[in-house]
This record gives sequence, C-alpha cells and structure tokens, in this order.
Amino acid sequence: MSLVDISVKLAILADAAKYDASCASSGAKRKGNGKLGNATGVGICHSYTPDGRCVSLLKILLTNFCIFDCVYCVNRISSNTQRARFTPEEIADLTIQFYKRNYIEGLFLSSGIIQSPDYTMEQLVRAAQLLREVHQFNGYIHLKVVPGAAPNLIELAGRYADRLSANIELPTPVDLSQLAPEKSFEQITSAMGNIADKIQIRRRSPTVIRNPEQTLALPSVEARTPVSGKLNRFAPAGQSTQMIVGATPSSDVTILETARDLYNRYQLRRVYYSAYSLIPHHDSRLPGIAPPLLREHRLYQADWLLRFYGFDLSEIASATENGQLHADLDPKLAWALRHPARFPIDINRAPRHELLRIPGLGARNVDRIIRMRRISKLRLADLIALKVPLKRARPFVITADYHPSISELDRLSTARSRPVQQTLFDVAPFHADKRRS
Amino acid sequence: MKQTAQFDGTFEAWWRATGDFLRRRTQPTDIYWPDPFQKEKGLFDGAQISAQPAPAIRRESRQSAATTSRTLVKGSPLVADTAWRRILALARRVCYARYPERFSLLYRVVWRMQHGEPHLTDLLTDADMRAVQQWDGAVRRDAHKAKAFVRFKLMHCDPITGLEHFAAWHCPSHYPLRLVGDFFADRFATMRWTIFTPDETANWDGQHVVYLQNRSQINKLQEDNIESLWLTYYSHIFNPARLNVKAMQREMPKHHWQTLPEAKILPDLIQSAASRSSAMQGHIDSPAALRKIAARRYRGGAETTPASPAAMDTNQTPFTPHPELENT
Ligand code: SF4
Repeated sequence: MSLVDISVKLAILADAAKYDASCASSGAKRKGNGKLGNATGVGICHSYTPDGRCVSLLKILLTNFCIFDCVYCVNRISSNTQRARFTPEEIADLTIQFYKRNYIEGLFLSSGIIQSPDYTMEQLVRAAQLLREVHQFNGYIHLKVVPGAAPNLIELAGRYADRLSANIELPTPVDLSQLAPEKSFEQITSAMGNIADKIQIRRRSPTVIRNPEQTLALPSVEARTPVSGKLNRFAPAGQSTQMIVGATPSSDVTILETARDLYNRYQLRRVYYSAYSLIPHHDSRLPGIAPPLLREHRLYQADWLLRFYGFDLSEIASATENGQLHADLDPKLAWALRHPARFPIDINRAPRHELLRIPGLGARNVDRIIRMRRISKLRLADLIALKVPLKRARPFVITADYHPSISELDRLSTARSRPVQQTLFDVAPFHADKRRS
Repeated sequence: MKQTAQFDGTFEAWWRATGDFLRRRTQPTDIYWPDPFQKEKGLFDGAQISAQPAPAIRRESRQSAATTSRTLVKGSPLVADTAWRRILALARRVCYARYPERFSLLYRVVWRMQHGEPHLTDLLTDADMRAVQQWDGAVRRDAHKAKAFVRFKLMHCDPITGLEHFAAWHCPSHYPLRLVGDFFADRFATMRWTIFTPDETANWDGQHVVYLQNRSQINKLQEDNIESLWLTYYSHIFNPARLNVKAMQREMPKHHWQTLPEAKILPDLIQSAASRSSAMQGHIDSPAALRKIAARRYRGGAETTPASPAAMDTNQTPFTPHPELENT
C-alpha cells in the first residue's frame, strides 16, 4: 500500500469515525517497561481540532461498510457515502507511526458491521493483537464491542484493550427500534453485562498477569492461563458507552434515567452524550436541525452532579421543565433556586456534602475550603482568591464577614423566570480528558 | 552585603542551596538568586548539568528534604511533614517558571515556614503562597502542553540495527523540559530522541536523559513523510458543523502553532468549515429514496464500483464522491 492509498482510506475512515465522542484515553496507568508506549492515567490531548475537540487517540473505523441501517448513522447501508476498508496490519502500522511522533495516546478502533458481528469483532481484535504482540505496543487501546459478538471474542478484546465500549446509541428501547431496526437494547446491554462481569471477577481476585502469552496464533480464550491459573488482564480502564441526544424526542430526564441505570448496573466509567449531528444524505425521519450543543453540556453537568456531588435524579428532575434541563441555568443553580430553604450554607461550618450543593463551588474548591478553614475563618475575599464566581455563589453562602439577606434569595428565585442571555460559544465545550472517568 | 547563591537553576540545586542558607540563618533579603536559565548570566552556558538517570535524582532530593526538615526544626515551631511535602512538590515545578524572582520567592516561603508560620502552605490566600500557586499552575500547564505538543520527526534510521532517532523542536512558555524528560524516556524508551527548545535540550540515548542548557534556534527540521498522513487525519476527524475556534485556541494557544505541523492547515480548515457543513445539510433523502439505494446495494447494482479490492467481501457500493471529500 502506498502512502497515497493509505491517505485516501484514512480520510474516509476518519470522517466516518468523527461522530463518536468517546475518545478519552484515561483510566489506565502503566509504565513503559522498555516497550514502546505507556499510559499515564489521565490521558493527554495532543491536539485540538477547529471544533474545539481534543485529539487524543487515532480514532478510526476499520471499515465504514455496514450491513445495518441505523437511520442516524452516516455509514448505514442506505447511505450514499464513499466506502473504504483498512486491514488490521495497516491499522497497527499507522498507530505505531503516529505514536512514535507523539501525535496520539493510542488507538480507538470501531467499525461498521461486515458479514457478521463475530467476523467484525475478530478483525478489531486482530488489530489490537498485532499492536500488542508484534509491535510490543504498550500505549492505550480502546476497542468498540460489536453487540452480538461471541463472549470469547469479548474476552480476547479485553485482554488487549484498555477500554471497551458498547454504544447504547439512543435513550430508550422504543427510540432504538425506530431508528436502528437491527439493533436491540437487550443485545447491547447483555454485551455490557458480559464486560462488567469480566471486570468484576478481576476486581475480586487481583492476581492479574500483565502480558498475554507471546504467540501469534489466536491465543486461548480462557480467562485463566492454563499454566499459572492466574487471570489475564481485562480492560483495566473499564467500559464506557455513548448516547445520541436530540435524534428522538426523549427528554433530558429520560436520558439521565437511562444513564443512571447503566452506571449502576454495569459500573460504566463514563456515559458520553453526543448531540445528534446532521450527516450527509440524512434521512427525513430525523429532525432537520441539530440540537444546540448547550444541551450536551447541561447533560454532562447533570451527570456530574449525579455521580460526584451526591445529587439524586429526582432532585435534578425537580428543577426541569417538562423533563428538560434549563438552558440558561446550570442544573445546580436551577436546583438551588427551587430549594431556597436549604440555603444559605455556612462556609466555615457546613459538612462537605452541603458545601457541594452551593452553586459555583466545585469539588476542588470545596476541598480547599475545608483545608483552609481549619486555620482561619474564611471571608468573602478568600472566596475571591479561590476564583469562586461570587455572582453565582454569594446569595447562597455565609462567610465570617457576610450573611445574605432573606430577600436576596427570594429575589433570585422569582427572577429566575427572566432568562439570562447566554450565547452558545460562551459555554466551555466539554473536554473529556479534563475530568475524571 | 548580599550573598549570591551558587547553583545551576535546577530544583535539586536550589534545594541544596536553600538548606545551606537556612542552616546559616541567612535572611531572605540577604540573598541574591541569579537566574541560571537566562542567557545574560552566562554562568552555565552549554554546561552539561546532570547526566544522572532521573530516578536517582529524585531519590536523593527526597532524602535531603527529610534530613533538612529534621535538622531545621530545632528552636522554631514544628513544620509538619505534610507541609514540607506540599512546599517541595510546589517548588519542584515553580523552580522552572520563567520568572527571575522564583528562587527568592520560594526561599522566602520556606524561611517563613521555619520562622513562626508552619501552616503557611495552607494559607492559600497569602500573597506569597498565591504567587507560588499561580506559578505552579503555569508551569504545570506548560509541562502538560509539552507532553502534548512535542512533535517528533524521524531524523535517521540505522540501516543495520533499525534503531530510529527522532527529534523535536518545541517552544514552551517556561522551562518544563526537566519535568517531562522522565515521561518521554518512559514512553519512548525504544527510540532515541532529542527535544530542542530555545533554552535547553534533552537527549535520550537509551539509558539516560541528558539535559543541556544551551540556546538553540531551529526553524525547520527535515521533512517526515508520515506528517502528511497526520494532516489528512486531522482535517477529517472534526465535525465542521460544530466549529468552535475560540475553544480550540484556548487549549492550543497560537504561540505553539509554529511547531505544530497541523497548525499549517488550520486557517484553511476553519475557512472551509461553513461550506463543508452546509454541504452536509443539503442532502436530505426521503425514506423511499433511501430504500431504493439499499435495495440496489443488496442486489449489487451494475453502476457500482468497489472502493478498494480489500472491500470485495462486503456489499458493493454506488460510487459517488463524498460531499466533504470535494474540499480536499
Ligand atoms: S451498525 Fe454502526 S456503523 Fe452500522 S449503521 Fe448502525 S451505527 Fe452505523
């Protein structure tokens, strides 16, 4: 293959992969050990594209040929798009060449479905196997799991990959049956369950051997190596999934409900929300306009409140309108305005879980405040020094030199109905790698 | 009379010098800390500063931190181990900030901790501590950007051993090389590499990272033909319908553009994004039309052209140029 041929295929298969948002390279930590590559735990964004997104992994499809017809997808069989296909060898080579130049953290490989789920999954596993065993590659690998692929292929995928993901695609089974007729919620969640079980087993018995045996034949797919009886490694960076937002009328609360269930049932590291994007040759059953990117952002904020700030879904739902998150207010502020009786909160006294409820106060600043207040009482000036947005936080806090008047909170609660103008681009886009996963 | 600190500008050397001054109870105002990274001083120009493997340095400085904290606590309120650890972790980075006053600031903080303010590191609103925190953040970001934005080019491949030598030209805001050398050594252990910056150079020979404080000015390293594939990837992996130049520039500030190969095509990509995204929206097909395309595909219609021979084992496809490909 000449560079030109590779370049043509790369253009098509990167184009086809760009709608998947789950490109973080976080969650795996290991030393290079004299091989090529390591994983730092947090992941690095090596570049940013003009849409403000981070480039962390070589994110491509093995092929954009697909026998399925998911309405929202540019690669569906009925789409009039140009097709191409890489061999696993080409993918491994390209990954190594990019990695050595410090362009990427590793590979995120997905694919359209060719022939059968098993055949497709085998090809993905093969590329990862080449990287690990032929190229001795020790960097990050994220493999997409094709729903319906045999459990032994998933076992192999987890041996080579740091992260696995099966995309839930849409918020409800009904949405899915309408827009992706060949897929089923059940099949996707059973793949997730399969992965979660395998990860769980490793958690319980920590004797994981780091490297699979060095052989090029498809290795044994038993979870334990026959010689030592130890467990092989399996997806140390866990699993994630992606949900397309705005392709169906499902509300934000419905979306968050599904996300919460998936987090609970399958111990997902991350649910990615991807605003539905108009695709070439798009189907008239889809909405003709893309949802505002702000919607993604609000969902991520709510997701964070659920997982790291002790919020309950019913609390978040209480501050929505018809199940939609507020466009003008972040979900924490919206909740606070609905529950003025919970405020003000004394910065110098309140326990951590209450401090986390204060609008404008992030977890990091909460921990700093707890450290600082052991030494001296905090004043408003201290909050300014911590770069707490006072405009948002002040009505809700008591400091050594400040106590908000009751009327201040009341005024805010009633002024809520007047929307604050906020342009889309004032909102920081979501950067996957900045946050825990 | 002010005393001039004798040290090479590294964190380890600053800490040793600080230990000496503290033992002699030298007031912060009585010390002049030169900036060895500044060319004007010329003290260590071109000198090889440390050829030791980095882990050894780390062990040594941890020991000296422990002994210093033990010998110094006599006669003043006890400085807790956690406070020492905190200030040393900060100093390890702040020493590489591009502010000439960094060494005297750090010494003053340590001095104050020793003289009645053992909790100083917790007073995040103290002016000195705030400067330390701010500069720490700046160096931390700069080191992170170095890990992200260093771009290696293949310089040489040994025809016999196959050993590849890569080089990079990177322009950081501070002096982050020593903070990232270990990272590159671990990640790219199997390669040989050199990172040039305007103020210093790091070189990995397979065993050690060697740092040189010399000024280099490299405008162009030789071409690397993989770079064109990277540009192809870069221009196709973003969604032109979500153009957000502000967010991109916040994370990838313009001063790094000179050393990033992909920055060359950025202006073109930004300019063509609007037309690319409207081309995407111009094609709306009705379900009936789509069913026709699918049916034709299943039958393997006569007008189809396979995209590549490797694709033959899947269904064939009608070949029409991708609207987004027309721009490339
Ligand atoms: S299976 Fe995947 S690639 Fe194929 S049409 Fe559905 S979403 Fe697209």
